Amino acid sequence: MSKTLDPVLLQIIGGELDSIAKEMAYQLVRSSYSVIIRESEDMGCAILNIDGEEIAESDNTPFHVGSLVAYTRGALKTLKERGVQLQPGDVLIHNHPYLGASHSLDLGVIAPIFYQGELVGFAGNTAHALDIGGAQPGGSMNLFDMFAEGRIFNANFLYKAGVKCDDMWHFIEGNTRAPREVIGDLKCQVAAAQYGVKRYTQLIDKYGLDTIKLYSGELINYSERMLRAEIEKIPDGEYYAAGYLDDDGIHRDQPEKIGVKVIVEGSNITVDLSEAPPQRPNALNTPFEGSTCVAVYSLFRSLLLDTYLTDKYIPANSGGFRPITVVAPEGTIFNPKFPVATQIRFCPANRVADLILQALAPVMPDRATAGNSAQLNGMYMSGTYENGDYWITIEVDEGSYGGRPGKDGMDAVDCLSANIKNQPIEELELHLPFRFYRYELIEEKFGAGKYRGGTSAVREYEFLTPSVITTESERHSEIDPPPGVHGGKPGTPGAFYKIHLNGEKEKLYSKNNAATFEKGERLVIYGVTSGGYGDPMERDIDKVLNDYLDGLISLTQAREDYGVVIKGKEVDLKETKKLRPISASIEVSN
Amino acid sequence: MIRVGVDVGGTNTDLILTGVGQKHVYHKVPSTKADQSIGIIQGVKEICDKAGIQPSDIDMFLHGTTVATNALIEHEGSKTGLITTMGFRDILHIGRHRRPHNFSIMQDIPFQVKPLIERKHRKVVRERIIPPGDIFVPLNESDVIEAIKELKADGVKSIAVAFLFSFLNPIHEKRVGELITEYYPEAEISLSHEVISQYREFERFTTTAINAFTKPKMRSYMKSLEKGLKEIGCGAEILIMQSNGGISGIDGVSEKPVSTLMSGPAAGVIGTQFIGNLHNHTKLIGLDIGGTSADITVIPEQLLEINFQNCQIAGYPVLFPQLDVISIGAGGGSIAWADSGGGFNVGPRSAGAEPGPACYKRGGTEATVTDANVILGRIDPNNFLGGRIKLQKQLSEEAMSCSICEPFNMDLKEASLSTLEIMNANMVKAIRIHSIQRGYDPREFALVAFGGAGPLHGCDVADALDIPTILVPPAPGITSAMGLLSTDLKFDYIRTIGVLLDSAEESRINQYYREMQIEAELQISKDSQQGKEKRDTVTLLQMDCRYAGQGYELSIEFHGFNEYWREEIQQKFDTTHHETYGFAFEGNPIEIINLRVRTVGVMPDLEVPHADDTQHAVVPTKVTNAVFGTPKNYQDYEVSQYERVDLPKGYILEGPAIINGLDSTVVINPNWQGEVLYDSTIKLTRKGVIS
Repeated sequence: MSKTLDPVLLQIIGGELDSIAKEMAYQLVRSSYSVIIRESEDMGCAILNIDGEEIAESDNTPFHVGSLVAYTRGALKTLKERGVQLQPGDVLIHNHPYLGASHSLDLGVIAPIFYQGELVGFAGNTAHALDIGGAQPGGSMNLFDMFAEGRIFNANFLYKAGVKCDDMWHFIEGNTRAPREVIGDLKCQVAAAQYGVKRYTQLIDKYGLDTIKLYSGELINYSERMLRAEIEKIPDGEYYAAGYLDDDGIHRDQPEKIGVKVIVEGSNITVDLSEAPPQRPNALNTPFEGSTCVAVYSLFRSLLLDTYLTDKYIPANSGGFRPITVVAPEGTIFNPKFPVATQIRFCPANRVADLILQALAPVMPDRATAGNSAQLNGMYMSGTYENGDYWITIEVDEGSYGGRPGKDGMDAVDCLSANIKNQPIEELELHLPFRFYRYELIEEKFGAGKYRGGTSAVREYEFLTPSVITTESERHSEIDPPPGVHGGKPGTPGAFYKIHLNGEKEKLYSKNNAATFEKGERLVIYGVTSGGYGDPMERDIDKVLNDYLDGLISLTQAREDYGVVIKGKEVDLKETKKLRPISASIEVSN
Repeated sequence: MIRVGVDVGGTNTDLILTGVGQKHVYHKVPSTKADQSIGIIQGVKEICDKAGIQPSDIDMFLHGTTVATNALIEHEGSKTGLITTMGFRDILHIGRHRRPHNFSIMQDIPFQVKPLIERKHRKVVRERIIPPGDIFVPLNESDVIEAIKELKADGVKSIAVAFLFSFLNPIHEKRVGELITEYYPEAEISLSHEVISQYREFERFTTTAINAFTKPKMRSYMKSLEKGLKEIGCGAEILIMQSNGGISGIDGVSEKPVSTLMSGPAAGVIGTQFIGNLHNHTKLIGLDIGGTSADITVIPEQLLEINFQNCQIAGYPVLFPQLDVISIGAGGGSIAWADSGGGFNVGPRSAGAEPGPACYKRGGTEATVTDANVILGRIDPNNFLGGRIKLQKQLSEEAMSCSICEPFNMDLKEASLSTLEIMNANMVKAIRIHSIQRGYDPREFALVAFGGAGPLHGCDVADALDIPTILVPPAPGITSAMGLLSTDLKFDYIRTIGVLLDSAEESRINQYYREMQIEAELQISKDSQQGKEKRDTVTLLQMDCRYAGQGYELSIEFHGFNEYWREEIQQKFDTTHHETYGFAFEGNPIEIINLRVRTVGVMPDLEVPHADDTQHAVVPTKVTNAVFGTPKNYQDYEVSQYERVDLPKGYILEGPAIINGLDSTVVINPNWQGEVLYDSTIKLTRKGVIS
């Protein structure tokens, strides 16, 4: 730290900035309309400096908080080209995927912050919009180009110098299938951004502009230093892992390879994504700035500055981006060329995050996990009531984590770059035409290991109106389930099934574009379970017994995978000894 | 009327006795962790001796307990089973499928790592209720009976019953309750619609599971407390503080231990309000600083409750009304440390009571907040807590120079002032979130500083927030126990109804309110059975509303039906939304989600003893040096030290001064002055400001 700076003030200003971003997020979630924001919290808030660097972010899903930098820079680029000057009281809307947006469905709302006439920063947020008036309700897979995704906003004004731009609001209201939710949410986004402006201005009032500039800059340097110190602990070298995507959603059952090269040099890391499929003529492409890079940054934060393992002060800001360079050739799925569509972009980026982890596993045995689910199940659902009204909702279903050094994997949670909430069944059935039959853990399908892979959940529901579903998913193919490490077994692919009115069970692909369901037909969703860590023959015997009693593994699995023989509710130690290698533990703690 | 208040903390059990002579009697005994009632009984015997009465003279016994809280946090409840809807066995395990940390691979999910109810004890049965309360699948009783038998065979002591949509129609849960009583009468039963009849399954199921998990412990604790008191001749009515700031009888708490998870902090909130109101301050900020944490509460005239959607204890959601008090990891034992990135941290790690601050000479080598206070001369090492513990200033200095001075190139005073500044900033931040962020201006508030370390930091915190007045209660360490004696009986009931305001039927709302009022009256009369007098009751009706389509509710008061009741609700909700979020969707349709009833049984007022008002001369016990100012700009001052017991009513104290008490040290900064009020509370104001 520079000697002229006061470490005490640094801590205090860091704390104030952190509260501002969190307060913005709190306000947005509590007052918003759509289930995807208010229950799932698919949103994020940040304060940025005039260079578009994040100086504070809210505690929300990594994809949102990380992408605000790209949104802001993209919008500023456009304004510069247009020669438009920002004024106090302006509020912008932005979702252009080739100018920083994470994808067009995540609407960015950005308000410039002025202090005594000088532009000093931005308060911004992004949140998933229920519908932006695209080809199909919610979101779509088979899109000709970006323009088919829906309304694209490129640094357009919602407020100009404090005056509401009614025309723009009318336009948006008339161009979405869910006007009440979308307009309601957008108002909340604006209020949250304006709140951020107010709070940041108060902070400058208190400490002075020069102090805030100096210290917020130093907070970014500080986070950068923390990350570099951790990178330096990884041996220099090139590390590699590869995996497969199920298919491109067009050429069915033709897996596509992704190879990830991680180059560690001193305190710098380069992630090279050159080995990637070419961009695709549908929406399965990942915007480079707003999504690909964000997935990589957030993985390194989780791996190297794991907030659970340390009570060190780690301000959440752009400092964590600086030591990392992402290379992805233009024209590949990770860096598509305008104007190809990019609406369904999440899963491949989450796979990249996991492949980085797998590449580093051999040199970080005390930190890296076995293979994680590393996708998500994004369900864009809509339907029509008998009176012709639309209903629209988005659901994101869980994955799991691989076994970890010293710990089992987490069960049935969002994985890596995703971290939003499920929607309560009691919320959904009260307000939408769903009937749930099942939501519980998947049994007997996760990777065995000394530390077992996390299992995921199965979710089954009936549609009470005719419905249309687009799905965003990966890892349904048998080719590449989450691998085990250090002797652990792999996890199990996920699956979607449609249950017809006659009871027939039809397996669906992982990616579906506008699949139709009759009233009374059901959807069954199996999450991806993860790989195990270490040889299952070394798992504590009492843990094996407990998994069996809990109904998570079968008697056969206990015997064959873990070498534990169970009779009734007890372990048969004599038989177990025969099955387990001599080195393995046969101690039972009870 | 003789009343005893007992607040059990991690280290000490604090007691207060009123109604004998003019003075309150205070006492402290060590807490007995394994069975808290042992320490309590000992304390009651001793405080009775001190007051010169027999335990049989006590009329009322009020108690703040951490039995359920500890059982939850330390995961030491009873073996618990669950009977739930088939297909939904793992709601308790999946939660909201979100990781507590956004950026962490090695984190634990508390309810997965420490399940309240293990999967093998989660039994599913065929049944299903669907909105608006219809039976979709009838309850299969043979499934239920089999489940009960299995749970019994597995040695489960307590059974939670939680079905989807039971808040719309509890018939199946009720029937399972009957079957458990029939087939396993010894088991404790917790039905989700009785614990909290509110929607969102993970949150309701978990609240019910916590209740079931802690219930056997709570019941047996209540029994041994009652028995222990009887054995020493005390047959007084026993009343327990709940998280909502009200008190409940033994039966109520044994049935619903989940209502006591914030029992201790709630007593502190009530104590804050009591002291404030006594001196005509209605807008109050309570700052209770102990060894490892600080409890902070903001009271804008009325007590605030945490929005139930935010209540979490040890990572488990709790859907039970609780007073808005937040706990942060900042106390006398909080450790100051430098991290590898050059950051200056204070807490959340604490040296606790063992090894304690370096100056305790019990092996602690890291500098703590207490060490900083010793170095700065704000704590007199020879006169700490009535001289019970002798402190070693030299050890404080060694620790500070090693952990802070060297890495940051600071001298001892700068390092110590910095430690206090960061510690205070954490508290100021918490106060600000709970005041300014909600539209309350701290400049209109009085700060009530209590707990062992609150009065040490009061002036610094008040200066940072521009708070004009500080009240230091007569016995800062016993303020929570005092809060126990100044509260009322309070019972909360809730029903999820989920209807649009425009189409809500008055008859249905009426029926729900009536049902809940009947329950409340029953509870009040049950809890008053042992009582010696009849109590006045006050009933408050509330509605949790939201704009149709939103996901979170705000509570508003309901004053009954009239011609314009719908318009009144609409308007009141718009206003509340505006106050809470800074804007409103005026005119948008409103949905009534929950109906609530709160019934309050009014308790007699607490008498207040008066300070000595003979005007005698007071001389400082000694004059020492202390440092005040900022890390970069500080000054040494000569400071007069006083004994708190010597100070008569009306005495004026000029800052800087240190007032030593038996359970706490009061520091008056140079820019502040103090006045001793009629009940021995010390009121601090800034010099030159007329209060």
